[in-house]
Amino acid sequence: MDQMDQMDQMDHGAQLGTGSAGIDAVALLLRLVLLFGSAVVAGVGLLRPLVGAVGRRLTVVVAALAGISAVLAIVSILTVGANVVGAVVHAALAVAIAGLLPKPGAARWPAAALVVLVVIETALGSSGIDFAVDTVFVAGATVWLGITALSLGVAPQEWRGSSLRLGPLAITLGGLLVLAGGTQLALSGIGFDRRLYGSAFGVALLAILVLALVATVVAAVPRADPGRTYRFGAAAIAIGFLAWSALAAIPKPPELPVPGVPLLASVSVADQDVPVLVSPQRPGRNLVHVPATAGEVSVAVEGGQAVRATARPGAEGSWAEVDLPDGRSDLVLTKDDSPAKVEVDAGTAEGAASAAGSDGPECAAAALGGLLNNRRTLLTACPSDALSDDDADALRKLVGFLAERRAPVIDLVADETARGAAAAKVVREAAARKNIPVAPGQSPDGALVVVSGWDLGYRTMRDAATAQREKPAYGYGLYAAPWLLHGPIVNLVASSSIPLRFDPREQLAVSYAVTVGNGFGGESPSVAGFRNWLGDQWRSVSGEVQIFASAQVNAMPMYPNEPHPPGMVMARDYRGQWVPEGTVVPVSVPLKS
Amino acid sequence: MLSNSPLRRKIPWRKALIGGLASVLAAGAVTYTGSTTNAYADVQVSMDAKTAADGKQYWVQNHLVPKDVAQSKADTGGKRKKWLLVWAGDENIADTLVKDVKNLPGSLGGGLGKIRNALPGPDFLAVIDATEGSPTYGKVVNTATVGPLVENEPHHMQYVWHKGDTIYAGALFAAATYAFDVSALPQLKLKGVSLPTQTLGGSVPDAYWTLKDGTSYGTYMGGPVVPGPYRYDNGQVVVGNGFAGSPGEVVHFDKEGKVLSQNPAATPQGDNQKLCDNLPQLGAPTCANPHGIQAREDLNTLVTSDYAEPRNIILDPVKQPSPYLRRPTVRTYDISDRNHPKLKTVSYLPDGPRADPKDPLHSESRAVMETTVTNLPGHKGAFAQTMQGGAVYYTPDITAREPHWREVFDDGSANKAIYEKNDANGASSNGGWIQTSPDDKYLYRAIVGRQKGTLGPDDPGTTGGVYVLDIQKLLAAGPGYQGSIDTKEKARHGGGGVLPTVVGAAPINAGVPGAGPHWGAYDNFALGADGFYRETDQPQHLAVSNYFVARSGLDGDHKVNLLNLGKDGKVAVDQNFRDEFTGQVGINFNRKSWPHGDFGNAKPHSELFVVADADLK
Repeated sequence: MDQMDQMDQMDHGAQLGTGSAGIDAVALLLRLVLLFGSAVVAGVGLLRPLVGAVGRRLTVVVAALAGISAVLAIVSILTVGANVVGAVVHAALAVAIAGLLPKPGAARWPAAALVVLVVIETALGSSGIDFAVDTVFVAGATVWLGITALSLGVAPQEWRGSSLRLGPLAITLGGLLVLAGGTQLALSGIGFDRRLYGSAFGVALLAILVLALVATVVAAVPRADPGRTYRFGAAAIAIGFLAWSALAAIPKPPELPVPGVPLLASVSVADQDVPVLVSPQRPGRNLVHVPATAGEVSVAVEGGQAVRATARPGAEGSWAEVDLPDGRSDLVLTKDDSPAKVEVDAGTAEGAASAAGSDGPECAAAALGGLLNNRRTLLTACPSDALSDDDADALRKLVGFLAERRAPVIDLVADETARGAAAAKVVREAAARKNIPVAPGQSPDGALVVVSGWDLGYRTMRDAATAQREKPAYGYGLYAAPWLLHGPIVNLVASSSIPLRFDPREQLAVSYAVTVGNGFGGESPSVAGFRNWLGDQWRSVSGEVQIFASAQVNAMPMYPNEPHPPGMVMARDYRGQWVPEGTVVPVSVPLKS
Repeated sequence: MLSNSPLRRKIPWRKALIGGLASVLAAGAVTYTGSTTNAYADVQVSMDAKTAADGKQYWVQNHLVPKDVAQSKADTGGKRKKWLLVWAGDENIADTLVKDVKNLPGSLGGGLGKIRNALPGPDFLAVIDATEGSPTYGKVVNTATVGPLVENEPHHMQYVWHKGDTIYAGALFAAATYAFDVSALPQLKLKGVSLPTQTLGGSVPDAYWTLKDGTSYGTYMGGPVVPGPYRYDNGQVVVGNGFAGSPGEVVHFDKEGKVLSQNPAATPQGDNQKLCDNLPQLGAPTCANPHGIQAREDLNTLVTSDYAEPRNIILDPVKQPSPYLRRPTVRTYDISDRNHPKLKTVSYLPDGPRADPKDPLHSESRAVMETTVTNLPGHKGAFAQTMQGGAVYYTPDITAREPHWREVFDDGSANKAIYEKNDANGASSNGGWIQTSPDDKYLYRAIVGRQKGTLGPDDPGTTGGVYVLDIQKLLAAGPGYQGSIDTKEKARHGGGGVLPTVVGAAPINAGVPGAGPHWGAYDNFALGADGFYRETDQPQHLAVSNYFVARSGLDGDHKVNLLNLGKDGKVAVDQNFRDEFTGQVGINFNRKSWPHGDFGNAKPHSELFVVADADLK
């Protein structure tokens, strides 16, 4: 799969001008003009029965706005791929309102339908309380704008008597808009911090709320002519409406960085939304990680030397090493000469030494799991800092399994980390108890047992795959420690076996795999990430140790450039798999000590 | 001046309008969930679970559409039903995406609530009404979902179902075999499930052949689940290269899906080193990756065909994998002891006139996906077909100490009968299903067709479809039959003499190269005058499905078609078997809604015609 194909598969089809991928400036402008124009037309039509004859000026204005709305609705078919039926209905309703304006009774019905349509178009994609809030705001603003237009375009004597008390109605509408704006602010999750005034999203939310308040205050002033109330407040309502309509296109600011908690953010760079992970977010050496779908990216602390993010053995995506200063600073990500900033806060305390070393990617992947479940905890240690009792037990049982299979010799590969050294000791002791010699070499009768970190694990598996292609080697198989169940490592070899305490095919494991893929550019899951994603729930998932086999099963070895039939998903983007294009199944009963 | 006073005259429209609008918006606000409702309103759900060897519960959950069942019964005067069962997997690719609703004029198509990948949906057996004349003909009346495993990659069942048989359904990726009770269709029950820990001598289950006693053989294409030596039930020790590698095995299941025996497909000494590649390399190279499987119990002989080492690893991003990972071999077994099939022969199919040493992948012998036996007592032969090779082979006697297989037909000579604009090159026809008719008169065959560009940049590809061969002369000629496809001319236009001839053909997705069916089944049931179904040896329908394995790159459009079959072998797509949503010919498994929910597209791999016990004599 080439990079373009990968990018097509992502939700990162970035667009120009809005600061948010997937939404281009033309589409946003079209949305704002279309929705605003339609709201005014619908508001006038809806309230048309309140007045008698309509002046020529208002008739012309409504006709113009209806015409613009109709044209834009049709244009949207071509420009944003709008549903043809939806666009035609929208255009027809707008034109119908303008055409029926001379008939007070008739215009209200298409107007009512258009209000519903504008609400749906505004709220599309949201549900539940979000949809309710959208409904209240759009309907309220539409009525306000309609009355304003009528008060401007209809002679006072043409207003009919009505039970509708426009003065109190203005207060009610203003109150509803304040309520909707306040709820939207509360739902946004950005809180009352500097993001409220330091980001476009926060400013827009603030503007909506403040403008609604202004309109309500204006409405609260008693006036003999309530039309003036609406006219005075119209600008606030109009700007608020536009801000509301634009919200969907404004990127939501990320959580404020917390020193020592790895940062997961998203930046729009070179027309693409790119997720970014900064670990450990402490002064000194840090890793900045982007997924493979981001392409070539360089990273620098603002004002400093840029570093190109590169691949790391055993890890997916690209990684850059940067030195963060104490406290707050900005990281600058650059792709295709397009820069984007990420605010970080390293604080002053020292971070875990292993977080930025050769085992940093696994450490970052572990942190990512927690972050994707809104678990923002201080990173004080990395998986490679210690061998857990569970993993030690799994390794002992793995050696027991090999002893039962009468493996003549084990080629043990470990690294110098605390975990690697402890794991090697466990394996050696267990092998000694089972009288299996541990000796290096790619023996045709041997079994490879890898207990290193991702880096050495990757290089070891790569070498094993090469050896197995040339001649029989490791006839008793390639075995990896539980933490090495990661796509880039196990997919290097035809098949590998791993002692695990959970079944990667079960619901929680699949849910986590889907979450990682969705949350970080299609990235593959990791065991450490799964543990952090689950938190305390890990205990309920962690069961008895079984050997699992991993292989890329597809029933047909294809040529790299072999043409594929129509309907084929080139990306093979099957989220939820622990190993890309792979299968992981249990191949042993629960193992005894 | 605008009035700010109470209304003197009540205007009913206003109350109605405001009330109505408020109601609509309130109802929408409360009920809107961002998606449309399921197309199936009333679905009866029932579950049948069994505890498997790992102590966990596995289940089948029926999602019956009662209105369709009731309507069908009423409108056909209580006519008994024939069902088409389709074993299908959830696609899980943006499967809840509904583009039309997401792109209204004022919406921001790409940015508003863009659907993310949902969790994988369940795989299922679709129960489709295949009763001619039924008002619900072609409707999915039940989806029997399996759990808890997802992403099983549903693959094959047995080739034909007879009354009383368990349905054996394989899960390619889960390395599991499900056993279903279909006696009370349209509802199903789960009889049992075999897990990979119960078949340590093989992996990647492929196909099944049910014996007269109701037990079944299954081919496990991949090797023993962990590398190294594995001792089979017969004492033979085979060294394998791991899960989904080599060599595979033949498993004998009881009616509940419990493993009775595991039997090696490999020879102790290994196979031809040049023709049989393994990755990782084995000390004793083997081609034993059994895929197709059929038996003649009267001849105490089982036949399996070797397809490929079923896993993939790109060792070199630009270098082609070895073509010798796809197999040219057919194996026969002595099944005098039904529980211990004993490997008897390994035959290497010969290359044909198209074979080019520079392109071994497309030599006639390459990738023997399927085999089918003759059925009548006077016949002892069997056929085999190659997927990349695009050829049909025949041996007149599978009981022989050394069966002699010869190419008797090239897919190229059926190409123009399927679609007149096709060329006559059979290479890479991507043939799958091949099946003798019960009366041994015909050979049914489904081919996907050659994808554009396969044989070079200017290769236009070929339209796939179904063709029917008349094999009566060939079988009548006995073991001493004359002829073979030994020239390019014969490969393009048929071998003449007693060799098979095309008597029927139909394109699937005419004009679209490489979009034909991979699999099929014949309809072995006919309605009798007494209103009950009986088995027939002259099928009147075929069913075919356009899907192989998406991961392999051979995906398809996920449609299932029925074809009408004449007594003379003529075949035509049934124009009445239509999708209940689109109205188009063929049941489209790319749809949003199923009785079990809005799980989106599904991948139909294999199918069977089945009748409930109460309706079948």
